[in-house]
Order: sequence, then structure tokens, then C-alpha cells
Amino acid sequence: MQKTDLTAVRQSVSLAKGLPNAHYIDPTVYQEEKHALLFDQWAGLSVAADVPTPGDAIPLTFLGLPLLLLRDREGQVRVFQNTCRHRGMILVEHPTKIEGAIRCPYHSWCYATDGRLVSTPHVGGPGQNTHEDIKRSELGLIEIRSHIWRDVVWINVNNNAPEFPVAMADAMERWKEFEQPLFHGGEDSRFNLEVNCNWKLAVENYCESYHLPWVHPGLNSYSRLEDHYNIEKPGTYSGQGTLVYRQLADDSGGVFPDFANLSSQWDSAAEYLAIYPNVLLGTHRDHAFAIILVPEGPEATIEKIHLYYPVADTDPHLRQKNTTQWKLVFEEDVFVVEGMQRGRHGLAFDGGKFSPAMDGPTHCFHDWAAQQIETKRQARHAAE
Amino acid sequence: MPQSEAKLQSEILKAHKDNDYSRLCELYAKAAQTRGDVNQACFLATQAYVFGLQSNHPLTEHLHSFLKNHGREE
Repeated sequence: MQKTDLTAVRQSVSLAKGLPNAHYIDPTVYQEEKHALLFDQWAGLSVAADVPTPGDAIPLTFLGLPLLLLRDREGQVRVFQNTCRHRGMILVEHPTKIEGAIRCPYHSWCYATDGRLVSTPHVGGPGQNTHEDIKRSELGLIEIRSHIWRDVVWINVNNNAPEFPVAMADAMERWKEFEQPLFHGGEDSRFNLEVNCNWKLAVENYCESYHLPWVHPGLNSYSRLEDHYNIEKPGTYSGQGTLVYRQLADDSGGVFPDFANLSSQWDSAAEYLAIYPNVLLGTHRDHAFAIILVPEGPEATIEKIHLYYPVADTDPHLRQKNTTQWKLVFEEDVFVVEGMQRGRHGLAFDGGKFSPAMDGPTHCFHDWAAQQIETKRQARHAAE
Repeated sequence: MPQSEAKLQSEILKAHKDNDYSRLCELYAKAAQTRGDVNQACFLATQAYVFGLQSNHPLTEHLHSFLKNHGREE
């Protein structure tokens, strides 16, 4: 495979170019990034609120990988490869409630919700359910390393990242005041956007405020560009913050309750972090959101958006108003990310020129991506 | 095939069609009880046991004991 040259990407923001076009349109590079940027990292898969009660199970495909997200009988959220250890059959085809065991529809090998293989019917012949060569203790479901933070189910497919609290220490420290229960707003607080762009463009657009006055003019009346600041934590996250967050209110002035015991800085501040690789988080005094970017190919992404509140019982009308407001903002970004995607078919586009003042968070992400890809290439080269 | 067996067979097919796993557990367990041959009984009890596991049926533990006592299950 022809490797892309990432030298220019690794320069300082004033000198750097963005990632080459191939990183947005080339299926081969997409496969390379699948491992370097997603399977080697703590990537967002889903949210725990999608499996609220024991036995809830949802099959998911993540970059071609068949996965099963479930909440086991003890209440723990787990992620398994959705593949029977016998003949590789897909175990669960549709979202379901597992009452007892997960039964493979092919030969009925059964697994407990914690992944243990608990039955191998007729494996030793009709009516004989054991065989000396079938060791159930070695044939449980393949569990994917996972961790829940801010209700997001993060997975490290290649099982090679540092422990989650180590890998995410900086982000967790930054938002430690918000380490308190998050309550998903329910059906009116989740929606998906299907966008025709590489997943990275959604990250890049999210983490900078430079575009706000042009793409989100409605925000400009109270959330002006000069009220924003860049956030850059090389190797982990980047994003933007605002100093003038204004709470949403209903017609009688009612607002959502605040998260408990926040310091005064959050009275009017809000922050939006792109946690590398593919999770976009926002937090405010009275609500939060998580966007999980699910790559569906080099030029297609599903954005899964979930809104959260400090308490379980919030006003449904205000909640709907909040969802509508955010949906409008995120939809305003669609033409941008899709336009940048089409722009990357321009043969002479060279990755672009960053504004050192405004594009730091985007460059921070590119630098991280390039570093991960180079590290993976070096490891592969050493192995060869 | 005796009429009662044919009826049971028909009920089993319907439960399969309906994906009624709890009912399948009960019907296969009933079928197992009708067999004097231990191999046939264990085959049917296995079917019942699997659907019992899937549906978390109260018969599951009893079926497990039956199969284990006959050296058919761990």
C-alpha cells in the first residue's frame, strides 16, 4: 500500500497542512485508520441508556465488526462480539430482551448474559451435551474491553489502550465537577443524523468556533465569536468553550435544574470537547449531550446524538424545545461537513492551511491522528 | 403415530413457528416424559432444557438435573 506522507501534518499549526485527501476518500486509508484511530483507542460505540434494564441487548455493527451491546443480569453493561464460538453464526439479529440465555439460532449453543457458554446441546451426539474436546470454560463469548463514562459506552477493540481512567485522565479532570449522575432525556432526547462525510470532518467541525458566526448565525446574537475560547489537550481532546452560555427557558421563565455544587465559572460557561477519536461531548450547568460518530465508510457517518439532564424528571416541553434547538444547530453543520467531503475530491487540494489563531483545535486533532497512524506504521514495519 | 403424540408434535411445530420458547420448553419436557428409551428422553429433555435456558423457565433446573443424572450435562 502506498503510504500517505504525514510530515506536513505534524508541523506546528502555523506551518502545518491538514491531513491529505486520501484520509477522507480512500478505502485503503480508511482501513488503516480503522485500526490506528479507532480499534487501538477508546472509541465511542453507544450509550448505556440504550440498554436500560438487565437483559436488554442490541446488535451493532461498528466498522464492520458485529457487536452485541447488552446489560447483563447483574446490571453490568457489556460488549461482546456478536458471533457464536461454534460456527461463527450471528447470535442476535435484532434488539431484544434476553430473558435467560442467549441461544444461537443455528445449533443452539447457549451463553449467559455475562458471556459464559452454558449449554452445548447434542455436541457429543444426540442427547449427549458434553464432549471431552469441548471445554465450555474456553468458549465463552469474546468480550470487547469496554468502559462507561458520561453514559457513553467506550470500547477498545484491539485491547491495547491504557486503562480508561488513565487514557482519559485529562478530560475527566477537566470536567470533574460534572462527575455526577446523568439522566438520559428519553425518546425525545435522542436522534440520528446521517451525513455524507468522513467521520473525522465531523470532529474537525465540532471542535472549532471559527465557523459559528457564518454557519450558526442564530447563535451569534448571544454567543459571539469573541466569547469563545479554544481548548487543546494534545493527544487526548480538543474543542471550544463559551463564556456566555444562556439557559433555555420556557414561556414562563422555567429552566432545567442545575447539576449540583458547580463552581461559579459554570454559571455562564459551557464547553464542547471532541474526545479522540469519535465522541463529541458538551456540558452546561443544566444539561449535557454526547454525540457518537459511527463511521459507515470513508464518506459516510451516522451521528448519534443523546441529551442528558441532572435529574430524571424534567419538563417534557422544555426538553423537546432543547432537543429541537440542538438539532437545528447540528443540522446547520451538515452542509459544511458534506461540502468539505466533496472538496476533498479536488485533486489539487493539499490538506489546507490552518489559521494559527482559530484552527488550533482542528490541528490538534490532525496531529493526534497523524501520530497514531505513524505509530501504527512503525509497529507494523518493526514486526515485518 | 399415536394421536396424542401427533397432537404434541403439532403443538411443538406451532410453538416453533410462534417463537414461543417457554412453551417449547414445556412441550419438549412433556415429550421427554413419554419416552421409555433413555436416549430419546435425553434428546427431548435437551431440547426442553435449551429453550428453558433461553426463556428462563422454572423447569430449567429440573431438566438440568435430569440430564446431569444421566451423564448428559455438566
